[in-house]
Amino acid sequence: MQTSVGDYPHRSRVRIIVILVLLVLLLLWTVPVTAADIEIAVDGDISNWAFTPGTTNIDSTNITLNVSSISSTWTVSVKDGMDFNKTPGTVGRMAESDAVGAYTGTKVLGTAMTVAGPTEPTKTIGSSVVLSGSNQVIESGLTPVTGLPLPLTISQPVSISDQVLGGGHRYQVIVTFIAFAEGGPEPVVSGIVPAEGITGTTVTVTNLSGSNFLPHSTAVLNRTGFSDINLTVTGVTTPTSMTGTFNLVGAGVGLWDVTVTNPDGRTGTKPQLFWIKYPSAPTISFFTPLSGARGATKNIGVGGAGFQNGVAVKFTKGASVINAAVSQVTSGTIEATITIPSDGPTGLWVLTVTNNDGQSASRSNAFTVT
Amino acid sequence: MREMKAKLLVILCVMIFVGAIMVGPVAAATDTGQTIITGNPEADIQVTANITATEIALVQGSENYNATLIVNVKANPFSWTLAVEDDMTGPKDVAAAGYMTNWTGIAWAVPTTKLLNPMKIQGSAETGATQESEKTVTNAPLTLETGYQATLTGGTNFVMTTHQKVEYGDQNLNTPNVYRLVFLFTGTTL
Repeated sequence: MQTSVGDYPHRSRVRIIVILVLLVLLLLWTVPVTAADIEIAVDGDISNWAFTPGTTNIDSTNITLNVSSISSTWTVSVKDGMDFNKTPGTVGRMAESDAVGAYTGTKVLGTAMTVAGPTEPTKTIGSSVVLSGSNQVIESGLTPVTGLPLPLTISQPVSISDQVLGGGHRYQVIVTFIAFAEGGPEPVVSGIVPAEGITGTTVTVTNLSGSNFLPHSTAVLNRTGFSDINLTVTGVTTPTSMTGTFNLVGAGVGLWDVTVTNPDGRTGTKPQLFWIKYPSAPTISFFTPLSGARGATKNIGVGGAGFQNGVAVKFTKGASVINAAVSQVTSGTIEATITIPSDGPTGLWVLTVTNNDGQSASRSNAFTVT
Repeated sequence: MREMKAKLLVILCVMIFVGAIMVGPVAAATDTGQTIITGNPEADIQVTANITATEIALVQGSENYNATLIVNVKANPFSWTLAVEDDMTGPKDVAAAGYMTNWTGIAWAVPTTKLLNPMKIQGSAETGATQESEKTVTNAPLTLETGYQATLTGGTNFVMTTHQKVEYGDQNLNTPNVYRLVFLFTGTTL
């Protein structure tokens, strides 16, 4: 026979443990971990700033950022929000607007604005950036903060070439601040639709897909040796999709990487995802000569259309390849020289012409090695 | 049995606890804000002459037009004027205001000797400004150009044509004395 006397302390310990665990769980539920990770409030603005020509006008009293972050690692970035259909060519600069703030007229200050955040020892490191259309960090947090006031310094160089606006117009820029508390994963790029575009045109991207995208994420086509091509974001960026346009005027042909950058600077890249190509693929209409002997060096000519500088010409038969040395190219003709290996296979070879964008044309049984 | 239930409850709680740790805090958070900055430059004008001193040949019995002086105006408002007057620094004899006057090289000669005719001047016709008629120089500002738009980057160059009639009655000066007049160009924003 058992009594309950001996069980009492044991059950009590268990209950205490359960209660403790439940308490910890309750704590986890009450700690704000999502939207409240970071909050910023922008206090103040600068209205009708009377610029002195011939100098850099500085204001460090009117705009203050108040930052609260439970994360110890956080950033605040700044960019020209380009709101109200601000003209793309005016990015980073104050542009003419009417009395109600609509961008009208053509006048723009000649120099972009600079925005600088202060350094608060042990709390945050401030930096100065020239305003642009991209997110640029002006504050890097070192510790959790609550309502930390950060007075910003706004610098606007004005020269006498910057015209006085009349008729109630003034220069205006809407500065957007993006706060980011780190802790999330980096963006991942998985695909893009369409996956190709014609050089010299503008392509509309209906879905740059992936994961972990954030509001104010940016995207570019990038490739070694070339300038980045920015995605002009249109529509709303979701965690899995971005939309926008790429301006491919002057863009180099070939395969480009696609990179997405989150406001905290984390990036995700998918290599060679986007193909920039010429409007049309090459075509072959004739080829001469039709044959050549082993070991011979032959001048060859290819006729057709759509040939581009940098075009490559080769002959293949099975695993055997003869690369031609191209000497002259027009859109309709290629002149080149080949050396037929003395041990190359005899018979019919395939001619392939490949432009430097990767588009190609082939003709079977084009050349006979005797 | 009760003990087993209690153990199961503890294990369950621990699992939920671990799960909460793994899922909760990794969510990234963003927040945004905006501020509007507006402004307008204060009206300003800068006037620069391309030469500080020049010697012109004055031929007796001639009108003596000369167009070597260039005045650059940089103005940021759409309405402005450029005026000219005799600088009178020295001081120069008021009775000689607007006249080329005997200058020793370091000071105005005494007694005052001046050409018989006053200096006249006219600015060139340039885009963005209305050319005024030729003005006879005095010690009061006279408008040479009336701007109706801001100047472009680099400003606008106005060629100043000076007009100094010399008569045979004008006295020839011995070296190093010369006839001298200092123009004072003044830009004003309206």
